[in-house]
Amino acid sequence: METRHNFPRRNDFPLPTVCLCATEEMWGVGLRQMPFLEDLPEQCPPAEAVDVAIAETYRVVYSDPPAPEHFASFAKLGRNMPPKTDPCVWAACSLFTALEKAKNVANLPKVRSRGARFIAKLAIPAGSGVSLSNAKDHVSFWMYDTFDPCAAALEITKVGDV
Amino acid sequence: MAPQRKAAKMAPRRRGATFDAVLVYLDEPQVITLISLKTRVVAVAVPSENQDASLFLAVTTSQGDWERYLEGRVDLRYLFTFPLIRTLYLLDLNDLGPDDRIMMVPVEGKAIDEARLPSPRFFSTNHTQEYETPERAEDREHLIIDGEWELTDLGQFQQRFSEIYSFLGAIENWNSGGVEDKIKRRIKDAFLDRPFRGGFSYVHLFKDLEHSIPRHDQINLNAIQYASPGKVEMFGREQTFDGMREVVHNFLANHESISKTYNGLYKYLSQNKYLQMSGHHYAKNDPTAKFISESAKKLAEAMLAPDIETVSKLTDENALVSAKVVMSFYRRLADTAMYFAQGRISY
Repeated sequence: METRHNFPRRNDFPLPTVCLCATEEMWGVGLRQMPFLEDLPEQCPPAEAVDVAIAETYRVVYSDPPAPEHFASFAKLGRNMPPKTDPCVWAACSLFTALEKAKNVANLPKVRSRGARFIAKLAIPAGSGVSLSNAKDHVSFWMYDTFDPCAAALEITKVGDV
Repeated sequence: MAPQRKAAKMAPRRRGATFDAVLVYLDEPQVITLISLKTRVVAVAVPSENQDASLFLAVTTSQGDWERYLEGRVDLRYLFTFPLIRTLYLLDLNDLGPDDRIMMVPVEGKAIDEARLPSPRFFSTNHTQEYETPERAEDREHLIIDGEWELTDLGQFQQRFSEIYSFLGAIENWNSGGVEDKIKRRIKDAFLDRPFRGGFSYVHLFKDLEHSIPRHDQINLNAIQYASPGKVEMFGREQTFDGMREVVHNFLANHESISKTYNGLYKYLSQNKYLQMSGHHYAKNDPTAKFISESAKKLAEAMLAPDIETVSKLTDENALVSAKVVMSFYRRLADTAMYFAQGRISY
């Protein structure tokens, strides 16, 4: 179910960053503010991001069962943001819509260096956050603070070294 | 006596590069590409003791390998481990300047720690970011396949078909006013760089001609449907496909007379030891030049290709080399036409 929404500017709302959005059931009962799990930069998420259910998506995690920090953005983890990186995407959780791609990316050297990798298959219902998908199976996902990604993990698969 | 110069291999130096694009992103850039002057550089994120660093292992790659990587014909690891001409560097993306320039530091030796290398089978289909690649040809050619095929048959047919396509395409490009000089230079170099004394010269000639075709005109197998009958769909340039149809149909209709012409020329060159003579040793004013030229012209005209005047220009008017090139074209055309004659391939 797609959600209609407007994203406020950071200046319009004090922290925590919120999403002024509404699911279809909410129309008629008024808009409500949905706080995001992480602090987001200004004008983030972008206007084209949507609150939509994603039936099947994959996240690289580092244990089975996964820990909440495996879903945290590098912004949240306090890493230095390298140049040529969009601060809003830096504050997002990277997901994949293709399992094979998630596995292959998990075998790149820097990801591999984190030790055992697993792929968590997630079912994300509408009302969990907003996401922006591209044509290359990558999804930037900004979670609402009510969403528990670990609980959304349906299946965990170990990534084998190639 | 002039002093002998000691050959010394220059150690690679630090090298500047300009950031181009992120290709793979997972929470942070994982694979990026840069350009150093005109050289393509591909870099993969690698672990570093300094957690604040954004360290990448970078490698220079030829335009051909870069295109092969983007097309999914080689994996990422290949670029870092196999090409003979490659230089490896390290860079910290955090050092990128406001002008998108960065300095890369050469990696000592070619033995790279396995932990820093991409795993096998990481192809460009795993990219997570859009990256504009040069357009591919969009004109289609459909062939019908029937009968029994061994895997090697199919490979050989594709190779021969694509060699003829590339040869005809290269000749068209050479004669076209709208084709860049650098492409024409590649075509000319393909003809001049070898002795034409044995099979390898021709293999390399056809390979070089294939590489001379710009990506947007290259023949590209799109789909094979295995059935009886099945279908093969190829992308390429319509004009070249039309030329191929014409020469194939003509060969099938006139193969006896064409083969007779070929055999006559072959016998003459063989009996007079010209087959094993390097093209470089054949003088322009050799008394046999006129006869060889005329025989090659007769063969080329009988096949409707290649244009003998163009071949002659490309070989710097070397009658022997021109004749050998026309004969090599004949052999490939005969191989290709055989599949049509057998009924296993048809338009």
